[in-house]
Amino acid sequence: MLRRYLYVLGARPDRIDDLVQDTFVVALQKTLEDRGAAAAGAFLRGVAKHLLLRERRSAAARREVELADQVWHEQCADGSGDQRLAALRHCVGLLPERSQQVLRRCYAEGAGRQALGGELGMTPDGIKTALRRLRAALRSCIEQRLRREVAES
Amino acid sequence: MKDEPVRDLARERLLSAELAELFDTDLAQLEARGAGPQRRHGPWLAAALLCLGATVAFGVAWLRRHDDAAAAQGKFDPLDPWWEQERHPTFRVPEVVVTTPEQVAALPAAVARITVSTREAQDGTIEAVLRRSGLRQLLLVHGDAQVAARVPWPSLAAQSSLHSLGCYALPVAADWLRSLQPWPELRSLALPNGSIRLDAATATALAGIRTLRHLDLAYDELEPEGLLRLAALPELDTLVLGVPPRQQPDLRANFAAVAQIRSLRALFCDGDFEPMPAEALRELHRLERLVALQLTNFQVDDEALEALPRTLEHLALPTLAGVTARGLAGLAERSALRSLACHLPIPAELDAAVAATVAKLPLECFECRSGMPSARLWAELAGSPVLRRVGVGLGRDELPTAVFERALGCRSLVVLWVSLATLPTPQQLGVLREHPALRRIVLRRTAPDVVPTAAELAALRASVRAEVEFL
Repeated sequence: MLRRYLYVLGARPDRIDDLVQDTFVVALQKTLEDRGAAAAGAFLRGVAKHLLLRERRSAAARREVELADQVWHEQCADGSGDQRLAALRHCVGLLPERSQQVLRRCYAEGAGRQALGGELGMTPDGIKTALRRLRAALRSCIEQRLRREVAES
Repeated sequence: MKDEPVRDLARERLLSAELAELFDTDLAQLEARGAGPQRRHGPWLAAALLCLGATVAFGVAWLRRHDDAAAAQGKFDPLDPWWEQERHPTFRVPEVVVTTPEQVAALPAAVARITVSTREAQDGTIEAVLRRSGLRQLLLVHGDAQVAARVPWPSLAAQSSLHSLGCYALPVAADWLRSLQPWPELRSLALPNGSIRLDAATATALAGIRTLRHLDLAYDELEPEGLLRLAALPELDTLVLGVPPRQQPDLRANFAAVAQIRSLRALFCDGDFEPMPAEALRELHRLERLVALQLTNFQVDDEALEALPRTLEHLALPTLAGVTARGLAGLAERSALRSLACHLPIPAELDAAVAATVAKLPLECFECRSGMPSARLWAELAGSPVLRRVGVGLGRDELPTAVFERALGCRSLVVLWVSLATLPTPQQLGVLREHPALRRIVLRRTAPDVVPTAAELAALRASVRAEVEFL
């Protein structure tokens, strides 16, 4: 969860491990009451955001972090983002087989656009467009599923 | 920097992080491969996010109308949204036509679809094309038996990486078709305009190409026995037929044979201006997967409209001259239809009935392939919240300005397809600059001498935010 959160806030991937480690060092130095996983998660995200803000010098960069934090809270009503992750898993399962294959080859197996284009008979630009559409469809599906879950609850 | 682009980027990063976790991959590697969220490129970001926003809007609109079960049945493929497809089901015919080895050598490496004008081609041209790496599609166009004898068929048969192959009006032997059977990637095969006669031997050779999904046999002489054998193709999805000149095929017998190809989802049939019998269309009811039907250059009447399969989602009709308002009212009851095209101009006396049909159907695509829709029809199209694509074919004397102005009123439009004889000016096209959702404008020339210069094309593209394609 913390890695996802820091990435959303704009942390560079090569800095995320360090920031997570620093976050837990700070957490260990504090004496925390056991108020449940949600409270602990909120505390860890607060520390992580604070550490990231320390690396952002300009007001504009700090504002971007704040805006991204707002997005996290809007999108992850449960705090941890685990509901979204479950919805994503469900939505990927609904995609046509060829679309799932593109996602697997691209995200899990690291195939580049050139290679993927060769396999599917598409140009690299076509793969880029297809990935953009896939991401848009997944975003919409996740939002719809979460809305439905809220309505049913 | 404005807030919304930052927030949108954060949403994209959230999805990337989730995908990385789902597929257990490293975020740094994901970014390095360019599979992560779009990077910020200063002033270009707004345009990029606009495209993204439009894409999301389509997805949201789609998911509002279709539940998870429908999505699971493969009705919507984000890799290939149906409204992006061009009219021709088999090929995106490229403008790259070569006749000499030098022309082939001068083509950019990225060109993967090439047409050879076989009759005029110098010796060595086809071989030069076949030597290119990454070749996906090859069309050989025109030639009699003498020209066909000069085609290096053995070399061509060795080009097993091709996805699409076409021989237009070029005689092809059944024996040679058999040599295509081991090709692992061949999905589209076009053999129209008398390239073959579909007898039992030729059909058996074709039926052995198990990877085929699209087959174009337009204007070939067909035997029902030959069509029946095509049912052995396990993945055949699209079939293109056309009545050859000076022949009167038994359409009912042919369609009865076609109805055995149970994998078929799209059937395109061009006629000879004779009636399309309702009983022939009823034969198609056995095709449970048939969702697209195009009938051009036939006469149809109310009975034929009533006989159309209920599974159809995409329908292209020929002239409506034999149809009445009652027949169109029946069409309006087919709530599965999401794409409707009229091949010839809509008769004035039917304009109100067509507009009423359009208003009643949840159309995502409407095409008027010969002529400008009426103001009444445009008003109905503008009122549709789900309309994604409009196609209009303009005559030589019709200016595209009116199309652009009307299309601006269709606020959910994504693709505008205009067939025209004269090139619009950037000022004319620029009317569409403020369109909130339009992402792609396709301009197809009907006059071969209308060829824009690079500067003219650049000016057209700069006048709008949507992509501009010129065919």
